Amino acid sequence: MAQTAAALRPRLSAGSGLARRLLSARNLVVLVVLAIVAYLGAVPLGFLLWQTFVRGGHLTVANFRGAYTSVGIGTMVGNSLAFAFGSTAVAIAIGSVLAYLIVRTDVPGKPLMFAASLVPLIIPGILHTIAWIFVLDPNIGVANRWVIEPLDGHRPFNVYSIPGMIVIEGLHLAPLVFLLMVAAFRSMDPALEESAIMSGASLPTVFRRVTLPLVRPALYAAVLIMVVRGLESFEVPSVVGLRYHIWVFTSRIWQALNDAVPNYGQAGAYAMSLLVLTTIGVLFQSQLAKRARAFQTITGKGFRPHAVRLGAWRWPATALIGLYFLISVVLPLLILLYASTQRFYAPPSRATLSHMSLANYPFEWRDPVIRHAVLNSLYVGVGAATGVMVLAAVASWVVVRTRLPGRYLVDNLAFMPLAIPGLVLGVALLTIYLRVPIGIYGTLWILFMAYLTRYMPYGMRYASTSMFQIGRELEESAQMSGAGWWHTFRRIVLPLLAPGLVAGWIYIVIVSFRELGSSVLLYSPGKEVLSIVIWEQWRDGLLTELSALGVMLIGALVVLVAVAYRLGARIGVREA
Amino acid sequence: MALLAVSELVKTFPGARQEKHRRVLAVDHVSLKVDEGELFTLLGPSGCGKTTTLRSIAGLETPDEGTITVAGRVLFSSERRIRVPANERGLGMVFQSYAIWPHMNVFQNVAFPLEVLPRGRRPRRAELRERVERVLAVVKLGELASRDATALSGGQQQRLALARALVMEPALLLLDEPLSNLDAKLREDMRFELKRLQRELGITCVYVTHDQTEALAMSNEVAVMRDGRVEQIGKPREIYESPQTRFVADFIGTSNFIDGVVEEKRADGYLVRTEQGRLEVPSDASHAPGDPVVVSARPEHITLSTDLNGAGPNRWRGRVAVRSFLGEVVDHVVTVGGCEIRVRCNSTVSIPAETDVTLVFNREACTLIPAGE
Repeated sequence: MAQTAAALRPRLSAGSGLARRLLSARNLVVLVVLAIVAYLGAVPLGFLLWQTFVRGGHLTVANFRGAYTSVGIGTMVGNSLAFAFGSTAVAIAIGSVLAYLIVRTDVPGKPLMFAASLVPLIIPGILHTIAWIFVLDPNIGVANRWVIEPLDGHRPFNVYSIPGMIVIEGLHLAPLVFLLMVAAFRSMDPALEESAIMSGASLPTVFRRVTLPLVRPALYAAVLIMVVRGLESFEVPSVVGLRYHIWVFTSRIWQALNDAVPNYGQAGAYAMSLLVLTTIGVLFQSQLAKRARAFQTITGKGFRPHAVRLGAWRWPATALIGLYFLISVVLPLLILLYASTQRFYAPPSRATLSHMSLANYPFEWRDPVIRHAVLNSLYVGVGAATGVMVLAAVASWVVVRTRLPGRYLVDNLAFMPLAIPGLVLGVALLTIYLRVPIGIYGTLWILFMAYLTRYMPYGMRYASTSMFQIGRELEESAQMSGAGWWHTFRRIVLPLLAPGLVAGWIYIVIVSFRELGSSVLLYSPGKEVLSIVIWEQWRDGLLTELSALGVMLIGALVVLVAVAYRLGARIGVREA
Repeated sequence: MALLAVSELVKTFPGARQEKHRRVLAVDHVSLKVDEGELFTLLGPSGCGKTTTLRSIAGLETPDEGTITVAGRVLFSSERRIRVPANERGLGMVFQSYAIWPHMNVFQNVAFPLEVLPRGRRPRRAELRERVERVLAVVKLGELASRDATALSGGQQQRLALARALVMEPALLLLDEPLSNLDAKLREDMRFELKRLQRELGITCVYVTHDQTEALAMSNEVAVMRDGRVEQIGKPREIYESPQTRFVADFIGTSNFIDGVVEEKRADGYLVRTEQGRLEVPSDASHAPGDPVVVSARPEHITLSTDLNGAGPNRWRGRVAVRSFLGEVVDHVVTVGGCEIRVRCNSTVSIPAETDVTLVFNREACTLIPAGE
């Protein structure tokens, strides 16, 4: 034995040089990270495809036949498209007009508008939707009671309809359009407009012939992003649409899985169809982005656009902005606050206003379900945010810095989840982890996996933006100083990346608190997160309790957003 | 023996997308030797391969072929499949952007190379502090040790980068256009400062620049590069006074190029016949009568006089076309036949346009270059 070992030793040591190279810290870390990113990006989709098209080892379209011969399928597709395009139209109209006013004119009240643009971040979609039901419900809605009925006799606006859903979703999406269009208007060289003015064109002509064509790529991109968002939305279709069975893709997926006998195949078929639609949107948008670069609207130069003087139109414009702020920020917040102080929900009146109490708040807090939900949300949100940023730090380094052959594949895989609606991801993960019993189904881990996947693209965007700002020479000089990969990464790259990583981390914590689409399919009783508790309370009709919980959640999110802004993160725009 | 020896270095990069399967030759069989204590400059226009050569020595680029040896240690050899990683080469480098780490202060920047040494060679805390302070004192930053690195001026950042490269006491210091980010006045000061430090500390340096004045003022030896190849290696004076190719003559200062044909061999050179007149040029190259050649004559090596008497080789008749006053000197453009010749005079000579003059070519300062290069 001893002899054999001795004989082997030289060979071993010769080989260990190579082995040490391959197993260096750098290669190990990079390989593990890339494997995880690839797994998260590719496996759920692959599994979903396989599950939907393969049954008993044969290719089949039975699931699709089942899904598409069921009753009311045409209406469902029509509803989805009407809802998505309708809410896009509302959002684009509001968002781009406001963006133009803010960036290009001398209208006052600009800070108000930017505060309003944070609404989608601080008011989770489900709370926003419920708040709007308090406003627009035909029986208890304050707008119907106070404004529409007195004006229009006794024909209240019925929010439980496609137009109602479009209004609510459109209002929720408008701030995103606003931020996208602000960026587009800002990056436009004012000299282009000025030269048109110098050529003798009038202001309306300049707007029509120069300004509009120049922002058109951005506008189209915004339209596509909003359509995809509208298709993906689950909150409005489930909270508003379910009452009168106005089905869209997302609510149909949910329903297929919440029947007495869950129909995974059918849910998969709907999920695949939805995925195809959203993927087309995302692909179109990335094509557009490429062409927009060729168009050179955005030069990366900081311009100070000259402000168009509104003159007599200044006050109507101001009123418009004020009204928007009232409707989109003050109204939903006030009504939630009001609802949280009532024992039973009734529209505000002298009687209800004299019976306000804070009884819901301590009740909410003492409830063990709520306490667990808060902790669960924290665990999963913080865990996923940390996981995503760790992965993104290394993956973005690989993509930006190295010449590794597969680096663009990694980049694409990391961005893939951007095209996957939350519910589709939910269906995919459900089918995987029901089939592959590694014991994460029914635990918080499956939510962790879902969030990790969903928010990887955001993390990558934050990390690679920061990575691009770190000069290559900063790393090379560390190498020349004798630092190996690990030292360079830990002592130079990470500290320099830190602001971007922290901003991304906070952003992911914020958005994970209100994640509903994949959570609603993946949670199990006892493992609820906050958004799920609100959803369940809505279904149980506990309106005032959920309002109290919602107000607390919004308070926490406001603090987080404020911290993020203190750290200088421009988080609003990333949303898109 | 040379401290740094580079031989037959080749480095290619993937070509642009349009020219698939083609690789761009960035460094084309470059060989050079640098003796201990010398400052060796790689000089050339952008894209000539000088920075790629430097980065190959540093270990930041992997060459395709060739050998790099520093102080007898082979750092790279394509033949023997040796490639020492950059962080194990123990060379110092100053980057064009200085690459000062913005999240560390002055002291931490300089201490970093010592902190990441392998455990056995890492100095103790007290020794580390002493070494950092010593090197900061050398570059006159001792007072600023606790200052944020980003709060330094351009010149101070430059010195900090130098201190960080020197703290490891490297065998070889690599400088990649270290002065190009400074304004003109500061650049001149730093040039002398750098040269003084280099001489006092006796460090061997490889210096990359596109600025010929910098190269001539600082170097013991200069290699002029073009399209990945070394065009000429020599002492600054040799390079300036006897450029071997038209490119070198043109790149180092300005020069008049006069086409001609060898007429006959003289004692230590040739008599060259040109369209404008004859020139006697020293040269030890071998040319036969009738060979086409180019004579390079620096503007400052031609004198002008209004004395129109006497003609012959190296004395041409011309007429001033343009005169421009540049402060310390006065440039004249003189037409001789159909050809314009640039003449630089000291400020006491200033001849108005349209004046007939005699150009006198300083025989020793003219250089013969084979035609076609």
